[in-house]
Amino acid sequence: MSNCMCRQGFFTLRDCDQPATATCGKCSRTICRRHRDPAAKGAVLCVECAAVEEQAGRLPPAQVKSGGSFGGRAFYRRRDEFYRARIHRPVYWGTAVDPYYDCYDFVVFHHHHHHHDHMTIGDSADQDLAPSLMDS
Amino acid sequence: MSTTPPLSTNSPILRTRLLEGRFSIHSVIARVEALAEFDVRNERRAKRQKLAGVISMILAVLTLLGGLAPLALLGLLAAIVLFVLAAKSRKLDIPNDVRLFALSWLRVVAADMNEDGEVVLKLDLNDVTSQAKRVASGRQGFYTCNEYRNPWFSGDAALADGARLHWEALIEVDERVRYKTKGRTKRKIKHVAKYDVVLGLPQDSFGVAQPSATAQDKVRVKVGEKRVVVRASRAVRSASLVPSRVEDLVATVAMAYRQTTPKTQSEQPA
Repeated sequence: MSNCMCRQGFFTLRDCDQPATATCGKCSRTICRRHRDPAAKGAVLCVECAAVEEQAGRLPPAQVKSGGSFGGRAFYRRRDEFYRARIHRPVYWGTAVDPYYDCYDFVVFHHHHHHHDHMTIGDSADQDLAPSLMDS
Repeated sequence: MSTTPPLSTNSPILRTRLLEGRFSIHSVIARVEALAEFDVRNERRAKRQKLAGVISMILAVLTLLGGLAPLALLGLLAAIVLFVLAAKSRKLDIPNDVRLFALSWLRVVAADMNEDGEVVLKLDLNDVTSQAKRVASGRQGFYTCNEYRNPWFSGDAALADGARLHWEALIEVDERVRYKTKGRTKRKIKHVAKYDVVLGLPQDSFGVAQPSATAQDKVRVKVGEKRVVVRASRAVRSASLVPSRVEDLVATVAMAYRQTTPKTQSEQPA
């Protein structure tokens, strides 16, 4: 099977690099274990479709661990709300064409090199960031 | 993903009222979840203790009226103990902003970080109107005026797209109270929740977009050698003590991103 077709992130979107283990029964996309909704009993649903089903009342609301929003399925529902309300226009760091995300107004970034360089805060390369994040 | 055991009332963090340091994003989420779960349990416990204290007091009065003085004394003692325990539980109370705001925000940031990403975080568990947060106090005519300032939540994170994100959440409260011997105490509140965000994006990938900000936002953009740095601020005002909304911080970061635009392939360095 191919890689998971869900896109992760909030302010920017990137492809999930996990191998797919199932196919969503609603959107037919291949999904990994992390993006499979655990609460959708009896059906294989991706977290994004599960969020849509919950919003439409076709799935009971999932408990959000320890309260607060943006947990589990609620994260994808809230992300969907933000994108549709045009509060945020995410940048997509990928090359896949997926009509599932056509409803979002995102910007595709065509880059020469990746920024998945696992840099951490406080690296020597971040000296320019100082307390004020200014580098000049 | 790391898990943290449930908090007990003896946990050091409940004494210091501060979560500060450098953590992996998932471990700090687990810690804040443990705090949130403790807060829920603690609130329930305080309510039960208070209710049990009230029932004990009522029973004490009834048994006293029934002529059973020793039982009444027992009931009274039980009520006192329960009220003291309830007060102790209330002292350990964590503002609901921790549960509703900080946890939600960390989940948003985690989505944009690598799995092994780290955050530098400061989370103050004191209530904004606590003694520790009062910065000024005085009298104006019949009114007692108190000013509170609580920089309760700040942090730094390195995002998966190469961005550096710094955030600060601050609450300022101006309170004017008029105590009356007859009638209700008058209280006027000015509550301001301020959010400051600094977003540093790789300069070889991002350029500056057309400026856009709403009336309640302040934005500054600076293009450096390595990064385009956007500083965005938002202030949300209210006439009462309202919980902070994570949507406001999310919108502030979204506004910071709006000041930049990805460079086309031809604009990027080879």
